[in-house]
Amino acid sequence: MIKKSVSIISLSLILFFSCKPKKKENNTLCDSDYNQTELLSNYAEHLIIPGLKTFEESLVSLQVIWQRYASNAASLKELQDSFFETYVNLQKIQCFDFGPMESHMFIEKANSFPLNQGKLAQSIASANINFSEPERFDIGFPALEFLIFGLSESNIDSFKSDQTKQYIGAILSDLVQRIMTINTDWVSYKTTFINAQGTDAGSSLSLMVNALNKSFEISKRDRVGIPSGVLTLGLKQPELVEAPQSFLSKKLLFTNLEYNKLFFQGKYGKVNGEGLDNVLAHIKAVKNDLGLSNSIEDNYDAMLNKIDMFPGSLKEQVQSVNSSVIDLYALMSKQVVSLKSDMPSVLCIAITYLDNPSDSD
Amino acid sequence: MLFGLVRSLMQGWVYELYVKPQFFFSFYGFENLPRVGETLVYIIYAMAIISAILISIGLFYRFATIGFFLCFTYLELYDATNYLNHYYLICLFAFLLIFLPANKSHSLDVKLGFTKASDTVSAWMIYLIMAQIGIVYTYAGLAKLHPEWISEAMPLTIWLNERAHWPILGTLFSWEYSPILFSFFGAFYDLFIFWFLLFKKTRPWAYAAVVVFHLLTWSMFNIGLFPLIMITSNIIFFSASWHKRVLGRLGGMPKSAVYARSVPPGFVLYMCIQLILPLRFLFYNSQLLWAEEGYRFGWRVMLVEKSGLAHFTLKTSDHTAFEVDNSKFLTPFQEKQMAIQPDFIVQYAHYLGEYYSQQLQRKDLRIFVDAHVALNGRVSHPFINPKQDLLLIEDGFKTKQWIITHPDL
Repeated sequence: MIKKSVSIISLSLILFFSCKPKKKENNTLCDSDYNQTELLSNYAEHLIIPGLKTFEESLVSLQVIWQRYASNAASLKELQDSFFETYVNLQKIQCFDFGPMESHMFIEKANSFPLNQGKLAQSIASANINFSEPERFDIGFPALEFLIFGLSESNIDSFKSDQTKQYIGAILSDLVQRIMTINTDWVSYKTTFINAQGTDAGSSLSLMVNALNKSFEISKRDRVGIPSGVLTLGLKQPELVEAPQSFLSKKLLFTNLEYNKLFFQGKYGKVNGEGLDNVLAHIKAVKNDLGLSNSIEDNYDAMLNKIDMFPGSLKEQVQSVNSSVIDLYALMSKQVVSLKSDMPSVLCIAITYLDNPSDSD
Repeated sequence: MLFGLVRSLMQGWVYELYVKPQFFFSFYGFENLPRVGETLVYIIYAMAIISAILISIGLFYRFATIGFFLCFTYLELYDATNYLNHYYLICLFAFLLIFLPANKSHSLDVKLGFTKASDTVSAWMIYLIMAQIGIVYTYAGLAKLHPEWISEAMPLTIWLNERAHWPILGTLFSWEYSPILFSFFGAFYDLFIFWFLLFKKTRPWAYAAVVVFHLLTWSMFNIGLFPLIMITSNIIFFSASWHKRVLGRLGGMPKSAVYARSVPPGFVLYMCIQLILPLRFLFYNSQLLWAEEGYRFGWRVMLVEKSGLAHFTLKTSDHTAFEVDNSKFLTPFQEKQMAIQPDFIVQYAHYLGEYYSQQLQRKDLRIFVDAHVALNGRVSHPFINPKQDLLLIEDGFKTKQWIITHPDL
């Protein structure tokens, strides 16, 4: 017996050392010695915290202008301009939807579109300002957009009815309340965020990659896929774009994808900080003989150029030359493969925002 | 089993897995299995739970084992998305239990006089369970003798790294030699544990290893019931006198002894099937880890880390094309599983074909898929030939020529 175990053990040792670990060329994050501190600090200090702060200021100023408008101290134009600016700023924080922002359900409450107009009329009439109700498509920016831009001059009186004013005021103060809490939460969450290194499902890197993908997929499906009819058997529905009343849809989509790219790059202002692109470069991730991060960036640029060429709004583009919107959709599909499959795989991260109701084996 | 069933119910998994989906994937040959819907699924679930209780207390044993086997197996066949090796193992054990006289001692059936008490059990019955366990381990071990597992240390590199921040063990997990050591040890354990359990001298040590190994994997991975099943079922390797001693200490139970008798031919056949089934991949000229032809029912446990994307395009003869919104038909979990399993891709495409030819009132539809799968920390690679009209494919046992070969395997 002893003889036997000795021989088994020695056999296994021989086996083991014959396939001794080589320093592998696997090009994954879990094989590398990459230190995430600089990366996470850059995101927290230079992108997320200042970005959320800017948005809060923008939203508060919209609230102030609304109050002045409601008491006839500001013009409709001023209100619309301020709304426009804030809606654009909202696009810049879409990738931050994790941690405090996710727990306060900010994106869901601020920008669930398309708007349910019938529901909105009911909710105004019944003063239903219980915003904690799930799946409301009659609140947030889509509702404001309809009320601030969608009503014709002749209806402007109904817009100024007390009930409507109350409803708009309630939406704004709910959102202001949420974003202020989020910003307060980030003060303490920052340390947690920078310390949650690694590649497990709770790590900050995983949260960021998942949030980036979630935001990108919403754009692909809801902003582009559904209005253009790609996902609806060719049935074009231009009125389902984001912000259909105000002709803002192109600018919103452009900013959304632009900031998706900046988030990928870890870039703020003119400074190109440590970002996901640097991690991919560090581990030398390659796709089809090209650096993965380069090919992702090139594809972002191709999408942004495409949108830039639309002469009018996205809604008009769907109505006139929809084929270019379908081309944009194809570019986005290609990008999803890189963002949702290639990048998580080499970063050893799982896409978890689609949850498993099961074990594995 | 009881624990597992109640747990699933409590976590709302029954709703998520059986009620919410509008389309269910099938195992080959069970395409026409009736899906009974919400109320009956809950009733079948309840019946499985009741049978499990009856089996544990040894009441109406034969009836309960048949009931449990049928209910549990039906639930596993309901949606192939949910296939897990250990659920399959439960089905097999449940099947074997029907033929074992596990109610002949320490049971209510005996106490109430429904059956005659017996202290003995035929040796082949014990050997049968042992052999089944041996097959599970050995095939799991053989499956690990793959360059991906042994020399690339994948996917353990990924999994250990995810747990590198654990207290105490984290340091071990993040050591650069750990993935290869763990991979090697895992393969070694699976390959030889059966033999160590079999021999009397090594048995206590081997069983200690079983407990440690399965507790460790239980704490590391989200593998549900498997560790529990293995830790308890491996007790069968101990001798009758050992069982008697332990049971005696627990409260002076009667004794049982073992004597040999000839083996019924049915079980020889069963064992042959069990031995051959996992080897059917040998008939395919394809990459097992990638194409998964002959993969299921083969005890390939925790072997790869995969994620995929599959976008389907519908084309008509006048060259209009639309993409399918998968979320309209599949739950996120189903979509995830579908994207990495070729037979699911085909099943789903056929379902889409039927759905849309009815909705659009046309018969000239073709369906193509743009599928990419990332395997073991690599960038993704095209999975299915994008020019193949999936409606022309009938799922079967022939090699799937339309799966694109992976260059690294």
